Order: sequence, then structure tokens, then C-alpha cells
Amino acid sequence: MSVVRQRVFRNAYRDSVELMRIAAEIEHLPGVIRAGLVMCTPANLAIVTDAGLGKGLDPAAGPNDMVVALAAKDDEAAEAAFERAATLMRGAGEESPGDGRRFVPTTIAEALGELPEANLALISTPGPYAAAEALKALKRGLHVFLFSDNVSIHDEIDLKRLGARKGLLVMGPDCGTAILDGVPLGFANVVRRGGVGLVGASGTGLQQVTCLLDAFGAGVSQAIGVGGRDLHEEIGGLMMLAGLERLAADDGTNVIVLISKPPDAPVAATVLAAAAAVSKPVVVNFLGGDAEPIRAAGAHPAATFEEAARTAARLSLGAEPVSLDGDEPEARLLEGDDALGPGRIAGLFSGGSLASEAKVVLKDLLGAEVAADQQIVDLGDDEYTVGRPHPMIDPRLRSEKIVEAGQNPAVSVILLDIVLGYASHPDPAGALIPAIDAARRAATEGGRRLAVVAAVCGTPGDPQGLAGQREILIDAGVHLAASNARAARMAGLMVQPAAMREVPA
Amino acid sequence: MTEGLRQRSPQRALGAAYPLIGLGPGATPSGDDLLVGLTAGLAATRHPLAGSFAAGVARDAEGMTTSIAAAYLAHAGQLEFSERLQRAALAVLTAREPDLRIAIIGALAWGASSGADMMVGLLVGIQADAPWLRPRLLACADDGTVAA
Repeated sequence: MSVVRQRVFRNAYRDSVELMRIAAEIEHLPGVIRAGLVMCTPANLAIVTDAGLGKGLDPAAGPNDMVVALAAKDDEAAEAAFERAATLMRGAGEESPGDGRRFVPTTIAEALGELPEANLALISTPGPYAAAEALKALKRGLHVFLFSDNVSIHDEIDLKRLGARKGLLVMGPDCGTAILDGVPLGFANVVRRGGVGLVGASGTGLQQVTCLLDAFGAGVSQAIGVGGRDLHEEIGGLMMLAGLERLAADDGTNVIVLISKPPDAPVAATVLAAAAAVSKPVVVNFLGGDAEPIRAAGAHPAATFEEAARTAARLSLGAEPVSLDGDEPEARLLEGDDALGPGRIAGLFSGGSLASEAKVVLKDLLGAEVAADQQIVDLGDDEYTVGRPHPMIDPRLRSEKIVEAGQNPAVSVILLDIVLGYASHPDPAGALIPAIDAARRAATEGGRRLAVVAAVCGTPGDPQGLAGQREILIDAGVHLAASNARAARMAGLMVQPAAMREVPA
Repeated sequence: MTEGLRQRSPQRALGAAYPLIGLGPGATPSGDDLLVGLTAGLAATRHPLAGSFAAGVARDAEGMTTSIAAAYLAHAGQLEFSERLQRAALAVLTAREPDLRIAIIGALAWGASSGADMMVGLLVGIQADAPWLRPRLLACADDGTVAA
């Protein structure tokens, strides 16, 4: 037996992504069979009726009203669902809770009128408008954190040249992460303050290294994101050089970490020459790049984010860093029956740089040929995010891909990154569990073994809580690694052909 | 709807448009966004039915959709469109890569799904009376810029 109930919210406006997200969450509540949230236009009400959710709907509901319509086990479940919907909608609609009448500036000039001492503008507008806003900010003497993507490289060159001339940082475009004077911007984690200063052309790379520094017992002075194209030849690493110069002069910084994909060769040479001129130790992670030129410049090469964090922690603390939790599982794998033999890894990543790091680790472990067979996907890539939120915010696309991977007989390991911190989903681990369970079930029903391997990129201080997120994954039977590199390695060992496996010394 | 537009039959086109009014998720339901985009496409290609179709949809929409969507459709009824939509229309008709891409991505970035809905409408509207544009539109879709 089930009941059909509706609740009408008068004059309520929410955008469609919010509505779909709320509907998805309501539908997963216990006792709820089906749920829909729509504006009460005649066309939508016809659909609600067709879906069998229209019985008893208040006839006074009009096009400016929103209806939550659902089929539930009983009235109690329906009531709980309405309560939850109301709470979610309150959260979605109010940007500044408490004081709705607060003045919200609409231009940079107005904002500066309100806060004349400001020295940084965070810009997040659709790409085509972002360059103009960034230019205004620079002209007014503000550093720029440019979260927007789809800014042309020509605009980026102009902005960064102007910034360099004026001694201002242009962090971005497409800059996801920074931590400045302890203030996190964009996607960033709550990390201990300390002596390590970072400049990174990679958002999740910066997140992973800052989180691991925290885990190693070290801390962060500044983390400066510069956007993924900064080390392209056209831009010439202008902002990485500017960041390096600032950190070299910063009394709070005793070790510097530079993070990027392998830069264009002339840019690498320029950056390394600048690093060589700095008296502080410099750790360089050009993901998957050649270590030799880095060593030749007197800097410390790091092949992975974990190695970058470990080396920087050791140099900054002047002692070996504490060991990470979960040092053991890798070794256990080789002895135990977790090794699955041939089969493919489906790496479903929300962080682009974490996906790149996994590829580097797998290539190193399995060789280029076998590594190329693994499917490592960055679901935050533009091709997946047009018209929908980033997978670090919205787990739905990734959940679909996890279920698909579970149904694919060629896949024996699912590899995941779980990114915590500001701006990420409030419960990224929990949100994936239903999909992980479904993938497992599909594999079991098909008589196959399927392992799920993950690493959580986060700190105990993050709003989601590191321990709780780890526990959720462990309870779901996920193999948890202490870093993304270790997770990739663990997944690689699971699919490594037995002949290639070496007994660890 | 495109049949009606091709046959220069306002009744037929409006009849097909009617069920889309107020249809779908969001504060501006998807069907309305599509109709706004479609009208912009007709206007941009100087379709002979642009004015009458737009005015007809605006009339039909009164009381049938949210106030916000009705306001957009009322403006569309006067062949008034947002700068962003006009820019996207102009780019589809004339621009080369990468400006085309930037204009389309800019338009797609509007709202949660409104931008994508409008772009679909825009492409349908442009194509309604300019079949010679079809290869160009398909190229946009192939490119992955516009989800087909």
C-alpha cells in the first residue's frame, strides 16, 4: 500500500538543478517511492497527474507555486519527506541567512566602496565576462582569484602581463584552489598553518599536497593557484614566477613547493632557473615529468603529490614526518587474495590532477602498454560539466558511471577520489555508497569479483570530517588508501598480471 | 512546429508550441526557455512568421507558466531578447571558432539548464528557415559544443 501526497510552496522559485537535486534526495528517503518537484504550470500538473502523483492536489496551486508531489509508504514517510524538502529549499534559496537586507554590491566599484581596504577580488562569472571583470579589478589594484573557466588564452596573457607589471597576482583563469593567509578560496581544505608555501597550476594537486602536509604534521603558509595554463609557452609561467618570488620573500615560508603538469620546455627552464636562485629549498612536482633538470637546478624533484608533500614536510619540520595511516594495506594485498588478476581499472575521478597522478603511478607500476588499457577518467572535465555542476559538488554523474562499471565484465577494480573541503559536497563518501553497493551487487550476480579502491583528500578540520568519511567507505568494504598515489598503486597491484608481481623486499 | 513554420502556418506552429508552455523543471520551465530561444532564432533569420509566432506564444503563455518565464516570453513577443542570446544567435550565424565556441558556452552557462534549453530552441529556430545552415549546426553539435 502506498499514499500519494503533495505539498504546495507558494511563490517559490528555485533553479532546475536545485529542484532535481532536492527531488533526488527526497526520493532516497526511507519510505518514499517516487517524488517530483515542479512549478504548478498546467503542463507540469498534467505530467504530475499522468505519473499518478496528482490525486488530491490543491486546485488553488498556480504557475508561481511549486509542488512537491510524492508517493510514499505511509503518511509518516510523506510528512518526513516534506519536512526535508522544506529544509533543503530554505538552504537553497537563501544566500545570506540572517540578514536578507544586507547590501549586496553588483560591481567591483561598489564592492570597493563597501570595503575600501580589500586587496583581492574573487571572480566567478561565465567565461566570456570574466576577463573584463578581472581587468577592472587589476586596474583598481586588486589581486585576482579567477575561478571562471572558458577565458581565452589571449585574455589570460593580457591579464597576467598587466598583473606582473603592477605586482599583482592573477590566480587563474580556471583556478579552483588557493589558501591565502589561512583563508581558503574556492575548493580548499582546512589545513594547519605552517612553513610550506605552494604555487600550483593544478587545483586538486594543491588540495592533495596541502592535505598530506597536514597529515604529515606540517603546515601551509600560502597556497597560490595559478590556473592550468600558466606554464604553457604562451603564458610563460608568469604567475608561477610571481608566486615563487613572493614566497621567497615571505618570512612565514621556509620551504617552497611548485606543482604543475610537465610544462613546455622553455617555461620549465625559466621556472627552474628562478627556483635555483631562491635560497630556500624548493620541491618541484612536474607530474610525470623528467626529474633530472629539476635536480640539476638544485631543487627536489617529486614524482607524486605524496612525495612532494613528504619531502616538503621533512624539509620544513627538519625531521622525518609522521607516517600516514594505512601504510599497511598495500603489502597485505600482495599476500592476500585481494589480487584480482587480469581485468581493467575504471578510475572515476572528480579531480583532474588526481586522475593525472593515478595515470603516472599506473604507468610506472604496470608499464605504458598495460597502463594505457586502464580507463582513468576525469569527470570534472569540460565535456562532462556543461550544463551541470562539477562532480565534486554533484555526485550523480559519478554514481551512474560507478554502476555502469560494476556491470562491465571487463572491469575488476573501481578507483575513486573523494575530495573534502569547502565547496565540495557535504557528504561525498556517503553520496556514492548506493552506487558502490549497486556496482558490487551487479558484479556478484555476474559471478565476478569487483574491488573498490579510494583515497580521501581531506583533513580532520574539513567541514565533512575526515574520520567520518573514511569510516563510511570502510564500512562499505572500500579499500582505503592514505593518499591518491597509494590508491592508484593499490588498484594497479590488484590488476597486475601475476608474472609481473615482485615480492616486496 | 518546424513543419508549421516551414509551411508558413501560424496556427499549426502555435498549436505545436502550446504544449511546451510551462513544461518542465525550473523557475523558467524548459519548454518556455526553448520557445524563447526558438523565437530568437526566427528573428535572427528574419523568418516571416517571427513576429506573429512570437506574439502568439506570448499571448498563450499568460497564466500558463511562471511569472518569470511569462515575462521572458512577453519580451520575446516583442522580439526583444537578452544580449547573451542575441550574441549566441549572431555567433551561430556568422562567427568562426573560437568565438563561436565562446558565445555558445557563454549562452549554455545561463542558469542551471535554461541556457542549454534556449540554445536548442535557437538552433531549431535558425534552421527552420535556413536549411542551408544545417551542416554548420551539425558541426557545432559534432564539436561537442552543443549537446545535440
